[in-house]
Amino acid sequence: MKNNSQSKKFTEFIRNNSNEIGVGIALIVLFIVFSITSPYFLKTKNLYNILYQISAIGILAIAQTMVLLTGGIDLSIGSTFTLSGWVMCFLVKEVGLAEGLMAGLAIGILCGFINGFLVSVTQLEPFIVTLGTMSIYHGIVYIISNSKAVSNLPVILEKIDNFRVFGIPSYVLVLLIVFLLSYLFLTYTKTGRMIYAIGSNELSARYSGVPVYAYKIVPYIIVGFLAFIAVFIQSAHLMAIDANAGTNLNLDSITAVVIGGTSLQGGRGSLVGTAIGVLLIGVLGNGLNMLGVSSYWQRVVVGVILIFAIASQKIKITSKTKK
Amino acid sequence: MEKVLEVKKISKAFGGIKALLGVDLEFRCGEVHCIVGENGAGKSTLGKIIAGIHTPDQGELTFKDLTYKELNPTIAKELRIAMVTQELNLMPHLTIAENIFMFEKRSYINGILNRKLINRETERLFEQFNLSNLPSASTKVENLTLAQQQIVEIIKAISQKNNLLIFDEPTTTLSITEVEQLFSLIRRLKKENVSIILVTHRLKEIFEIGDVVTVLCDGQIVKSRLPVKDLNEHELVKYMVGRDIKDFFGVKEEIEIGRPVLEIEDLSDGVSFRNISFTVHESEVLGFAGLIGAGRTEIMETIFGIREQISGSIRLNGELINTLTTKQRVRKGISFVPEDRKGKGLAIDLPICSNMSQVEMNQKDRLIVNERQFEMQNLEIAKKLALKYHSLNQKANSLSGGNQQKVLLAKWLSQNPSVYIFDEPTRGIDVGTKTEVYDLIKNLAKEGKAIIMVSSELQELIAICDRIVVINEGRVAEIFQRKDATEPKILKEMIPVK
Repeated sequence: MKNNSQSKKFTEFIRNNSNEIGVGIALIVLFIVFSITSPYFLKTKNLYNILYQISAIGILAIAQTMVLLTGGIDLSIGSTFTLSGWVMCFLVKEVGLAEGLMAGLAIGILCGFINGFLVSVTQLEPFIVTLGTMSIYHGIVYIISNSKAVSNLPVILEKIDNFRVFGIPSYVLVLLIVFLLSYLFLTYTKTGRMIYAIGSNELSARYSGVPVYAYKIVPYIIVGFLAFIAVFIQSAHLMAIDANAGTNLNLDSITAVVIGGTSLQGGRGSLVGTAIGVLLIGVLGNGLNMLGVSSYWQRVVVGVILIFAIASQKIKITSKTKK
Repeated sequence: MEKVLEVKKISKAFGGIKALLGVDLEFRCGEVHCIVGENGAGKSTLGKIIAGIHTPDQGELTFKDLTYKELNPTIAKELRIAMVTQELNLMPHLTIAENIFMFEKRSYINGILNRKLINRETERLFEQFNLSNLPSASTKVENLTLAQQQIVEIIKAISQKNNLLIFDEPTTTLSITEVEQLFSLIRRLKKENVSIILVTHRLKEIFEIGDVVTVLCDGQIVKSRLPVKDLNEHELVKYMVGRDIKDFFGVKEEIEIGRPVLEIEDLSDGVSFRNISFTVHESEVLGFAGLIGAGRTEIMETIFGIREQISGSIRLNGELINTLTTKQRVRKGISFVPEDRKGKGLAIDLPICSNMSQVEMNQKDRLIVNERQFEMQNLEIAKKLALKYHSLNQKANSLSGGNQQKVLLAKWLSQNPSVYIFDEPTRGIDVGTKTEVYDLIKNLAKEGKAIIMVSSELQELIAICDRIVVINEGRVAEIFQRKDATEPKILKEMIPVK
């Protein structure tokens, strides 16, 4: 009897997490394949390299997951990243560390707030709003930077980047902390649960008396905040930032989240899925590099995997709802 | 009468659930064949197999003398079989005429749509069927009311000169006048020797329009082709639920009505209703009758605070609550069970437990919540409502319609509100569950709750409610005491004077 209920629980677990499990298996297979085909892949230095490569995109993907869960989308995430980062770096270099960080943080949050306000209060389409702000924020970067990079940042940033706890580099630590806090936020806070509820059916939340508009702003502000965190660890590592730093990150963050099984319709998805999606993209890029595949071909592969992931989810959903 | 279609040993399963199990049935020309059964009995599935929307796992279909293992929409169209499904399939951004004639070859000249022709044809159909209340043929469908859209869908099916027409609960979104229109259409089609299959929940309709009735239960036939004229409602209900329901509504007993709880005075929203005044008391069930679009739902949404009012007062236990947000009103003791379960009611992709605790979680001003903490309470409420489920973690859309309705009620029970507003609480749920909903409402009244029930089923209002408010074009037309309320009297007040 007990065994039976346990096996029931197990099948329920599999069913509820089938997507994460599927992408997870793909990740493990890739990992094994690259370990065999490339002698350098499993070297510690390379593994750290992968972790660095996914740290910024990972943080952005976590933020993007929250927006997608409400049924929205944030296309301006890369522009917010660049704008807050460029201002931060410029001020850190010219004025001081604290001033730079404060300004970068404020700009990140402001960018997110503007998106959230337009989406939730004026009820404009998130796609259109953030397509607009993507252009606006990036335009402002060009205006103030004159398309120039900020480099030769103060040594303090390098120190932060090299900081290690028990041998774990600071950027990995930041990624882990962001992931953990976000996971707790989505699972255990009222706002987190409301994000799922609103994404799943906004009207039903309204008819339960939920002040939907207040909750819908939150994920966009989190995007602004996390975009700042991401750009901070990336510029500390590179000791520079240029005016196109975040251009690819808009769509890459969405790609990782979608591969991880979060639905663009909202309400369905998880941060664990996103983490696996990010790792998959990171391992794939790194492994293909090791094998000498050109970065042009890598873009093609990522596109194919994205479509494949979506198609397999689609097939699953239609077979469930066919009734 | 000549046989038009026969199905033999049809079986169909979805996943592990058997929707149909070896069904044999025949359909004849010029006959209205009603199919009844509780939710999940397989009625819609049968219709969809006949219309070629679903493919059966086993069995065969014989149309006149042609035998098929399965149909698909193309073959069904060639055989002139059509189905008006519950989910409307119209294209909202196209006009009425385009929706009706878009897929007909004759609407095109050299590949170009002949708008003049299809508009003329559409207007002719309107005339032919006496549909003067529809706007012109070139109106976009998105500008029509839900009921008008349903009529367009029906006209579309009729315009194709079909041999066999399946209606899947066509009247759930229609008001009384439109139901009359539909029935006169059906009578005409019958004369033209069309075979009609009518899937319905409303027993009254069977006796009004049906020739034979087949009762399905759990995917199997309980009674096949019973002639309607030899049948009474009581017997039919017995076949449907497999047990005897002596008094299916269970008339509400008279209990002493207490002090006023909710007092509405002169309420207007400037669009849908004006100068609405009424009072609900402790232990009272106040019914709201009216045509679709009369403004009943809008009044309730305004009381609940998700629709703006322009004037008037709402008092709860003597306290003015006009300016409060919905959340604050809920805290004071108002609850609202909306119509349209899937649209407004439930997040059907989320587990049952998340749905059940949604209201509770919203009311608690806490930063951290753990859904597990609601578990005991949820289990208790589920038991009280006799909810049929295997785990509270299963998704809400895996439940039947009646059980989904219970989850919707469950959301509010935890709050112990003093006012319950039910908007069409029994729409689209089976007879057995309906009785349970009535019992629940009566028990709440016994506990001293004030209850508002909006319903389009007059019989149910008369049986359950202490008083019935009739809303006509956004105004209170009349308030009946139960002892004075009869169907004809209420109907007379419902219909606008032109």
